Amino acid sequence: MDAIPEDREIKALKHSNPLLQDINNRLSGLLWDTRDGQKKLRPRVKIVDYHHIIGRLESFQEFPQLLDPILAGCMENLTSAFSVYLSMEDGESEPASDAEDRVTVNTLAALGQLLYVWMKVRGPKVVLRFLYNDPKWLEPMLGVFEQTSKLIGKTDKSADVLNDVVEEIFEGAPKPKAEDKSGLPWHLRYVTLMWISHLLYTPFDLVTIGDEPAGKPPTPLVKVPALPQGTPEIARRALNVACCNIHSPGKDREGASATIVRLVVRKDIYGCLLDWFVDWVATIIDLCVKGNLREDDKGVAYVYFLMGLLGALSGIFASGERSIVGQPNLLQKVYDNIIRELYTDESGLVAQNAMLRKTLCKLLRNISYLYLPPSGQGETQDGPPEEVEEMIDQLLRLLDDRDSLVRYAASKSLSLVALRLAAADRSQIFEAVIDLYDSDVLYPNRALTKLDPKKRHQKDLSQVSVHLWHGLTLTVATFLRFHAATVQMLPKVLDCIITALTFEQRKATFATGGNVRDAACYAAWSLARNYKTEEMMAEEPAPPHSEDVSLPQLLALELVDAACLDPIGNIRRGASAALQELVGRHPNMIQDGISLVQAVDYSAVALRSRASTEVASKAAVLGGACYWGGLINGLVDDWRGIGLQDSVGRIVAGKGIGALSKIGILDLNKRQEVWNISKNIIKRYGTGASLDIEVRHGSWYALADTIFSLINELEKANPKLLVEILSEMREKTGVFEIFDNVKPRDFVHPVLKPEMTCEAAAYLVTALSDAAKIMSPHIEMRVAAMSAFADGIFPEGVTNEHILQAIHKSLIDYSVDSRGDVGSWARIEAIRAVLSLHTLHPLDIHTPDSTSLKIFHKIIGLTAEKLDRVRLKACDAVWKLTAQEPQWAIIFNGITAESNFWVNWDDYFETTVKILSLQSVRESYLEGYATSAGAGSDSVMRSSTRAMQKYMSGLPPYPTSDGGVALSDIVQSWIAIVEKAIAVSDDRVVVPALAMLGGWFESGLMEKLDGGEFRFQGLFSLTQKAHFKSSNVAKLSGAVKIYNGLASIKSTRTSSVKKLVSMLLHPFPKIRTAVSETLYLIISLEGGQEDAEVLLMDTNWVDQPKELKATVEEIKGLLGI
Amino acid sequence: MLSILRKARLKDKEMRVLMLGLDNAGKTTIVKQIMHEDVNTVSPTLGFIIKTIEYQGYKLNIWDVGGQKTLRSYWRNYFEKTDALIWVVDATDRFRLEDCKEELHGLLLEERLMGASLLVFANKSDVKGCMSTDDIKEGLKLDEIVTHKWTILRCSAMTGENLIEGLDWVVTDAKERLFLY
Repeated sequence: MDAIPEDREIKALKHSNPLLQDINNRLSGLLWDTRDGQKKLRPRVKIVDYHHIIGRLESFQEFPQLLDPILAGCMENLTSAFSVYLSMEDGESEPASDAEDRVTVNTLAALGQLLYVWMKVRGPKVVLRFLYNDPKWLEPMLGVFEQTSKLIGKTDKSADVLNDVVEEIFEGAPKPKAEDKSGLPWHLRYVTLMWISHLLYTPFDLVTIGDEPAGKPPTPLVKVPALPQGTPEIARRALNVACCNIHSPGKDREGASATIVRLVVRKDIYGCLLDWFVDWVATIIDLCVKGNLREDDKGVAYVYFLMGLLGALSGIFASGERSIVGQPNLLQKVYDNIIRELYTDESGLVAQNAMLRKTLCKLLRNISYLYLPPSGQGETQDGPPEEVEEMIDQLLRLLDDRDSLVRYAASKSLSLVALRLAAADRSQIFEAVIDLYDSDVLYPNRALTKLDPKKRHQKDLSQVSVHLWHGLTLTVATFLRFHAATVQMLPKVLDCIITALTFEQRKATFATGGNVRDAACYAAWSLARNYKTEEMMAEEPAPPHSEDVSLPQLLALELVDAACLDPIGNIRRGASAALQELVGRHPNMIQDGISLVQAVDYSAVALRSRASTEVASKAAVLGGACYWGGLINGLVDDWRGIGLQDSVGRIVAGKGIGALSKIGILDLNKRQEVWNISKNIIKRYGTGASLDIEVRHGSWYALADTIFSLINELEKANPKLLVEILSEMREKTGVFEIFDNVKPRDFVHPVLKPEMTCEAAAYLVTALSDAAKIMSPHIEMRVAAMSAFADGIFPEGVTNEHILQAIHKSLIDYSVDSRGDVGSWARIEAIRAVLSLHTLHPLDIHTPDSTSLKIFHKIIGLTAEKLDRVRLKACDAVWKLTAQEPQWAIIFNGITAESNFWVNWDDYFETTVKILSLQSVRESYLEGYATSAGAGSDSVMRSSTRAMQKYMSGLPPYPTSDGGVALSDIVQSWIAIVEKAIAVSDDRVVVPALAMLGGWFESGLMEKLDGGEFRFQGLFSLTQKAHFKSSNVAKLSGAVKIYNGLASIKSTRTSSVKKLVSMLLHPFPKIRTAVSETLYLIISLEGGQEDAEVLLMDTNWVDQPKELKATVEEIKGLLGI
Repeated sequence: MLSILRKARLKDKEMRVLMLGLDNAGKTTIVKQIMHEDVNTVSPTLGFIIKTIEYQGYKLNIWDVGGQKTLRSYWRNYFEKTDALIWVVDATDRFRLEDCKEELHGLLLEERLMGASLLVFANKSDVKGCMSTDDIKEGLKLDEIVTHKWTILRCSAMTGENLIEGLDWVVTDAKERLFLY
């Protein structure tokens, strides 16, 4: 898994200015009408503009601080609009017409949502600071609930419109029931309640603000116990409004809780309401935690109701003054009647709801604080009170919660409570946390088995709770952040961190533990940051870790592995950050720390494919190669490597192993280690019942990549060393025998994931055959690989590029050793492989540039092969491959498996040469023809040359209107082949090709082209180029034949004769003689040059060239050149 | 994890400050002086060292990066990005002022450092005949910098002159930018 690119944040920063301006500008226009030069609030706002602003705001969700420059301005706009709306006289909010209904919404409703989005993005606490705090607004705010119909028309559909919008934009926002509430959208309710809670901070007694009862107060659905006598009217109204929303499933419930909190902790109110509220909560607890009811008779769901009440209760104890909310009697009442009941949770309500448990974590923290002395004011003498111990116990238990948000909350509460304890008590808790790591860990039975010390400490984590480990690691991280672990505990702590860094648990279809490792990075980072070097160096690592390695170095080793190998991008980044901190905070403690940090850098580890190859390679050579072993073994043994569940990951791991093996062999002098690792890789996937198909897939990739990376590095630079290494690998690892245990059904049986096996096998076969080619005695390997394919190990319909590439390579295998053309075995097997493939999945011979088309072309070339076996096999293949192709019908017309065609070479060549009539394959055929033209047995040579000349002589010189093939087409194609072969100095083709051309001149074919478009001059230059500085006699002879032919063509006559004359001084006597004979023939045919004829005849051309110089000059003079 | 840490950093008012400059400019000595450590035992910094300075309730995590290494690796990591840059100039080193300018301007082009404010310390002000801040401002072409908020202060790592004022500027700037609300 790759991490998100780093530049998102930068982009946000870069482009934020115009976006912010846009929000700012549009907001004013949306709310205010300034047409008459007067600023007037619009009663309704346009939905389109409104959505636009919301969308823009949402885009800042991840980078909320970027909003700060416009925060004050926007808040000013929103709050003043809100207040203006509330102050409008009756009747100003006329009901909207139908048309307006669709394109506009009520301004107040819109303001509610805008403020909500601001709170969501920037945080409610920040936004609240900008809301009016003048108590005169309290009544109008209450009015939003009490006089709704005056503010928003009864028939107004804004709420629906907004709720719809909301559903699109914010996932999970609960939609209130249609008949519910007063037509107020939930955002507006939430925002207004939050505002009310903010206004309740007012230092003035509420009685002074107003003491009128509400005109038409809404009636809460829940049963609210009678309020104590003397509760001020405003308090009653606020409480009433809050109670209307306290059981809501939506966010508005939180607003209601906040209102209750602010109200109850007020100096002028707590006397009336604090006990009253606690009793009310206890009553509801009685009903729903002890009882079995899930909702009351009006359909109020207890789970939300309780959540609202507990939220308020927790808030009251968090923010009330200690002298008020910390009274022992009150605390005891809460603890006994509420908290203990929540532990017991008779009805299971708490167990069923994560939010409730999260609220509980907070409540436990706030109550614990009050049981303990205020922070910084002395410590408890004899440990914390029993209640606190119980609460800590509960929190430890909640670390194992199945919901991560509860674990986060529990871990946070636990750490914060611990911070308030005396140092000794604090380390006790920390020890408890560390000890919990051991629950459900299975160790090997030490008494029965004689295990080596390393294995004795091997932990089996398959039974431990992932949740618990996550919760524990989070807590460890927080504790370390507060320096809450004693130095003596560090070895144990480090062991926990290291184990957590590699924690993974397989489930049927997925792996878990990413969150544990993520938390472990945080813990490692906290440890590095908050402990001094002396502290880190004071202790030695606990077994099983070696004592020779210091704690920081041990951590560094593990962090490098995590940063390079973890499958999850953010964990790699987290580990890289922790490593940076470790190196930077503890100078000179980490081997090659500085270079390590530079190699394993934030952006380098973002892509997995890069992290476990390039980055790992860079790290592997540092610190005396101390990181190499961990990295390569991580890729082999671990769940992070070739045993990964996703195939892409395994392939990447294979690449990493290849790269690290290469470094191990070539740079770090670790050949033996690499061979041992390779053997392990082969052993790892098991056999028979224990066979792990996924691991085998990864293993084969790893072995193949080891071979490929060695070949890439050494093939050109040091082939001798390469052969030596590959031979050693063959001998020491047995990789070349790897397919011995593979059963054919592995490639076909659907349950065994044949497509995966096939893909990996193809890759490894390619690698092995490449390796075998390099260690040339092992042609048998390549042949065996191809036979494997040919013998039908392909599962139904599976082909892939690796297989095709491997086949293609084998088709052009022309290896020769003492036994002769051993490459032909590979060629034959490759052809068989193609046919085998074709029967299952017709070969695509039409897609341009595809490997399958290239294969087809190579086989066509092989139909002109010199070796009978290959040629026949190839022709058989072409015959079968083209059975369904109409244009091929002309060629194989009437041929059956029994035809004479297969045994009579004349027949054979006369038939196959017709392939030349197919333009698309002409060149392929000619290439094959050229490759074998100069070789083969005499009878075959004769048959093929005869067939070719016969065929060509029947062709028109130039294309005619019938569109058929012409002589010029073939000559042109042939010349193209010669050109190509000259460019790569492939004499195997050039020599016979020139001879062939010479032959065509001799048989008069070429002359037919004279007077047409064919450029003989071009052929002349090409011939010159072909034998330039060559000492190949056969090639030179071929060239002389061509010059001979060219001399009979008008346009090239002079240049050819000139060329031939100059060749009279060629260093080779044989050539000089041949040239003199050729020239004689030319001149005598032309006539009128008797003197020159005599000179050519009479001179002994075997003499030394310098003695011949004078004669040649004379001939030049006579011929006038 | 990331969000927890970011929140915690905000709450603890933590900042990441990158301290850079040519070698021998006196970066490590400045850190040591601020932390009241012995300033007479400074040897060239290889790589980098992280130190935390607490100042006015803010935690400044100073990344003191060895002179010749202006490598990208230190500019940010998963948990933190750079909030402020302190560029230390050796005010006695007229020769390399041009180099110093090139380095600085090259650095400011880096995207990873966007949004970080820049404090230039003209160090070694206690040495006679050193350049004035105006000379350095001119030499480093500071007036051309528009991408980053910047200031320049003369200072002395040996006497401690202006070091606290420098921190002050960094913290005040952070208050306005990072910890606004």
